[in-house]
Amino acid sequence: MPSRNLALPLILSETPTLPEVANAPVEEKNSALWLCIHLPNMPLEILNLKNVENPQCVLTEVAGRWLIHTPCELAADRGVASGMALNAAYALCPDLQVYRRTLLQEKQQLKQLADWAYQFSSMVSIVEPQSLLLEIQGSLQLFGGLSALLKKIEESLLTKWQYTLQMAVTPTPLASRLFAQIGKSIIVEQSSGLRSALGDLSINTLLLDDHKTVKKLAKIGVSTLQDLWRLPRDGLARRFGQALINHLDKLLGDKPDLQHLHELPLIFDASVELPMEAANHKSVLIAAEKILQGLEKYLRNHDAGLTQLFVRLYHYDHPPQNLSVGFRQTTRCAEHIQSLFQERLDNLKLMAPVTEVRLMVKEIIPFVTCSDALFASQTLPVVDLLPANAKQLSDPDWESTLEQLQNRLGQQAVLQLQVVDDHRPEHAWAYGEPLPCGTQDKAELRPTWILPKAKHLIVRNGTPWLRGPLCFLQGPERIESGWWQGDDVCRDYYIARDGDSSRVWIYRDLKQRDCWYLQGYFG
Amino acid sequence: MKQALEKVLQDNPLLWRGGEISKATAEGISTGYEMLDNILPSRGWPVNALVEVVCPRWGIGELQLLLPALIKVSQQSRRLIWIAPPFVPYAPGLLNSGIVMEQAIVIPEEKVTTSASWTMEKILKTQSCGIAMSWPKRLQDKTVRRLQLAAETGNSLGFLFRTVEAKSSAAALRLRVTSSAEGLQIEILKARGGGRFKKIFLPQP
Repeated sequence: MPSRNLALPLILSETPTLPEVANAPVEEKNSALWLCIHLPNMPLEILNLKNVENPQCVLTEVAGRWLIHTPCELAADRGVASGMALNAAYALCPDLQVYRRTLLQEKQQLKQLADWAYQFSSMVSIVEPQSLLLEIQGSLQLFGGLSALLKKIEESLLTKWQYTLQMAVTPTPLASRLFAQIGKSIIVEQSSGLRSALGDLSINTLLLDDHKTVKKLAKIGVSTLQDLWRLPRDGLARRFGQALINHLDKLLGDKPDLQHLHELPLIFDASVELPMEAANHKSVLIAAEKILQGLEKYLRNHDAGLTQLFVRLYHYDHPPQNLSVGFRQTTRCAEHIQSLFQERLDNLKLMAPVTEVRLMVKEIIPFVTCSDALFASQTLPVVDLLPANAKQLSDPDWESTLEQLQNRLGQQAVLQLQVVDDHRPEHAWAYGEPLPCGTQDKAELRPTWILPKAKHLIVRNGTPWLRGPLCFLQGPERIESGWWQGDDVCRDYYIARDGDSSRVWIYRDLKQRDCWYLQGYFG
Repeated sequence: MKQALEKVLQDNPLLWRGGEISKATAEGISTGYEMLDNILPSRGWPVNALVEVVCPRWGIGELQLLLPALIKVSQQSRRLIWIAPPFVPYAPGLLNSGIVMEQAIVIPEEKVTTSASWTMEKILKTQSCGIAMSWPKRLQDKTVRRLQLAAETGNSLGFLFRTVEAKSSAAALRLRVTSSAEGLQIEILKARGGGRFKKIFLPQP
């Protein structure tokens, strides 16, 4: 195999590459290749400190004591090491500047890094506190080989974040982590080469959770992994427990080592720059159309839908304009989204010519479809065949119309008319969500129109006047109610015919003298 | 040639095709007033069509005229929609007359502002609306034609209430309603599929 000493100095690849034939079972077994990216100085580097002339370090609190976690290069040169007590560090380095570790920020940073790493591999796993694992075997062909891929990853990471990197590539996740953690940049492509590559390492680096085992091993004269492998397996298991054996098996790839894969958060954010500034809605719509098609594809791939779309229109010398399009049901149909977007856009006044259109979906939800009727046809009166409440529940046609109306006219525009249990006429109706129906006295005749605020009527010769003298047909009906709300009414209601011979509903306010009001029409 | 013809048909409300008559003469929704049913070509309100009601002012009894149809449609679980009504439809009154209140939907005028015709068109195009009523302030002949076409594609009956009488209209049925001492006077100005344009009086209840 030709030497590939580009990004990493040491290459161990003992088995010569076999000619690519289908019957190469040894090759097939090595299907995975894990890259570990370790950021040894992340706790310090994440603080983004400017002053680098003084020695600095990050502290952690362990059992009430402050210990050095990550010293900077300058401090390390003067003897400050990780795990040292703060006082000891001050003794070595009196001008040491200390900072508390920001674990939460580190976690967020790792998540961001994992999102970023998704471009190189679909299997990304976060290893807390400061490493990432990527399965890269599947990406080799796409990126043109291992060295090209590693170079690309390193470049991409360093242009975005200035972190000290330690990388290692081996067939098992644990071995990669181990090498990366001790800062040994190594590429081992075959699992047969793994044993000899690991052999020289000290057992302290083994990443065992149990420190006692390491101490015990040291006592019996085991200092490197090579020593460990020389010991009989069953004896080792009896003396140190199965956990150690499992750990070693995972290290060499004899046992599967399952990783928690990082999942990309579901958000959609895409923008398109217009070829030239556009002052009309149509160009904006055409630009958005392209993104919407991508959005539909994206949503279909995730089997998801959206209920709200945020749109931002950028201008050359104006702050961007925002608008949001709401959907009553989860949708992913580009055509549908576009039609509603168009409605909203038509109502928007563009402050300035648009240079860029950006579409964002902040919440992507699992898509639930509702089935259409198999034999639905426009000409057939399907409506009458269905029971009334079944139709109410699944009425996609009405829902989509409602959606369009609400988008253009506002969320509170389409209102359900209701009866409220109240004797006062102006309080006996309401708009809003369906309430339990009032128990109205059916005997009384009520008009079909009401004036929410009654109109004062003039009085001529003692008779109320509306386009002529009012002629009483029915009444009076006394309505006296509402005193407990401080809005008490005391009225005598009449049905009368006005000068134009249409029937009206009027009342006389008994609390005032000779005051007549028009309440409604029997229109 | 065909396009030009379509355009003329589209733009000129005075023109309509003879074939539409057969559609109009299909059985309509009974108005609930026998006298009125007798003089209407479809023996009731035409289905999937636009009806224009011209009256001098609101509240003279024009809603009373629709009431039996409103009750019937609401009881069939189909929606009644008031678009920009001049006053608030009085819920207890409607309930007393027998309307199913769950079906009554109002889009107030302050919400609609200038989009009344647009709203009406959208609603008429749906399959699930029963009766849509609108009180537009200004209306172009072209818009009336659009609404009539929308009503034909949808599954609903549209009512346009107007105070001014346009010279011509694409609506399938046009009525003039005036109130008098004897009752409501109804005059048919236009009815697709019928030439018996008559005047009747409905006695006041």
